[in-house]
Amino acid sequence: MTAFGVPNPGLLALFYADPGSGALLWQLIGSFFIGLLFYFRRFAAWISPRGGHKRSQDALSNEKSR
Amino acid sequence: MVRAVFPPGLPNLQAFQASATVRRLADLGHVIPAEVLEDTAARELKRELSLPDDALLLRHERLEFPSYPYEWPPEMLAAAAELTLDLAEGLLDEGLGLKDATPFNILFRGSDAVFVDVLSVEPRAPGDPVWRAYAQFVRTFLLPLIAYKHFRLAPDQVFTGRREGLSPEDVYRMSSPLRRLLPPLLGYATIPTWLSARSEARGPQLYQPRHEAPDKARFVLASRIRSLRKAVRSIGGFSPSSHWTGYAETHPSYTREQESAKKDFVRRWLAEDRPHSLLDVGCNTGAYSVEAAAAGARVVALDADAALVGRLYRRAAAQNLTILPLVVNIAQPSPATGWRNQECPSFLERACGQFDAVLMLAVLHHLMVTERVPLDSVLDLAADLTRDWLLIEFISPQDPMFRRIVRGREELHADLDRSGFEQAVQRRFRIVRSLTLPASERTLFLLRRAA
Repeated sequence: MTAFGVPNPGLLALFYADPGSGALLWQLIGSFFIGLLFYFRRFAAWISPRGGHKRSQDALSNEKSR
Repeated sequence: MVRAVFPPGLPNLQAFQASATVRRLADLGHVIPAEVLEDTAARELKRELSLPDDALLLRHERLEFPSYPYEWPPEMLAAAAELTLDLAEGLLDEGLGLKDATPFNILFRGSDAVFVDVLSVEPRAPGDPVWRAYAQFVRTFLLPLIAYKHFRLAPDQVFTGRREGLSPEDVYRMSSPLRRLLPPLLGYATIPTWLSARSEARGPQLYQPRHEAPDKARFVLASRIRSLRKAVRSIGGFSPSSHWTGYAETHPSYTREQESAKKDFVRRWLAEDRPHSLLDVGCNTGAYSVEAAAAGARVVALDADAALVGRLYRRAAAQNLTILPLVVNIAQPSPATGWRNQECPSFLERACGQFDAVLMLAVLHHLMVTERVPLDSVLDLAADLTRDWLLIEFISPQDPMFRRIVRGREELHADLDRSGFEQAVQRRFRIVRSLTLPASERTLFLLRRAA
């Protein structure tokens, strides 16, 4: 059996991972554009059922006029 | 294998234990199982190791042979990257994340990647669209894969002594001006390099947590993980060749009859003795590793050529073979690395005395001629590596391949002959049986370690 684990006042320091600098800024820039895509998709999903409802309403009124 | 977890790590451990994604992957064998120890034996162990009472002890499965990224072919690095992304993606929906993303969090059980850093899982701020481990993932998975694909820089050349992999600036400097502007280098090396100076100018403000709507943050993170996965798959779809990958076809060392006699000799021994664990030194295509795995052995297969080892890994993964193929030159094996050379033990520390059997087929002449290792030293190493069996191929200096690699310096090995070999062998082993291949200067020896 092998055991490991050393009590150390600086233990929390082990949790660090370097987030980079240029890479982090690029991630933030990318997040902005992906965020725009998020809103665009939300908007597209919002108008889509209304578009479908409008089309079915048109189809119903066409049927009645025959 | 027992791990002690101290109070600062307990929230992460709780997140790990509560995660459905972790449970699902653990059931598939891709996350190391962790059992909390709370019995009397655990309390005694804490006393023995002078651990505080509030430390928690976890028991883990002991993986048979730990290996490190500098011993992996690129295919294994890509598999480790995919597992990391599987975890990161699955944890997102549970409000969790990975606080780091490095191949040192992964070990291999045969050809299966296993995530072992149980404290890497942490609760995620729901509104934060930034994955803080993203840059580490790029440095330690993506950029080394890109460097292999475009510059033939193997993982052993990246990770030995460089735990943090390759920076965007490193890869940017290696690239031509045109290549810098093309994907994937454009997004993962060039633009981060260009932005690096601007980001330094922003100072600590750059690292402040962001706050977005939770569903937007999740959408951004999920998109980012998907594009990383796409990048790993597009970079990882390589089938490199090397000097050795087609060598057996272009420079055959055996006739069909000789090959058949050699295979029969090896198969007979495997069928009789069925070693549980086997080290194949200089495995080349891995043909004999596959034979050993088929006979029930857990195999570690070594070769210095990353392209060959990568092909063997793909075969082992596709056919579910119990083979762990590693890029190791037994003449220059991986050193101990990390802080005070104590974090990652050397290959020989991990390997000596760990195998029931060692194969050294068609490798002795390379060690003696190219690597200039004396015969006695090779046999001493073999005796240290194996607990019992050694199957070694003696190649006489009259052999055509031997003559080719000695390059006109035959006098250096003029005194090497079969009887001298047998005499040297019997310092550490006893000869069980031998077979000279038909019409050949090559003899197989089956040996057992002397008590």
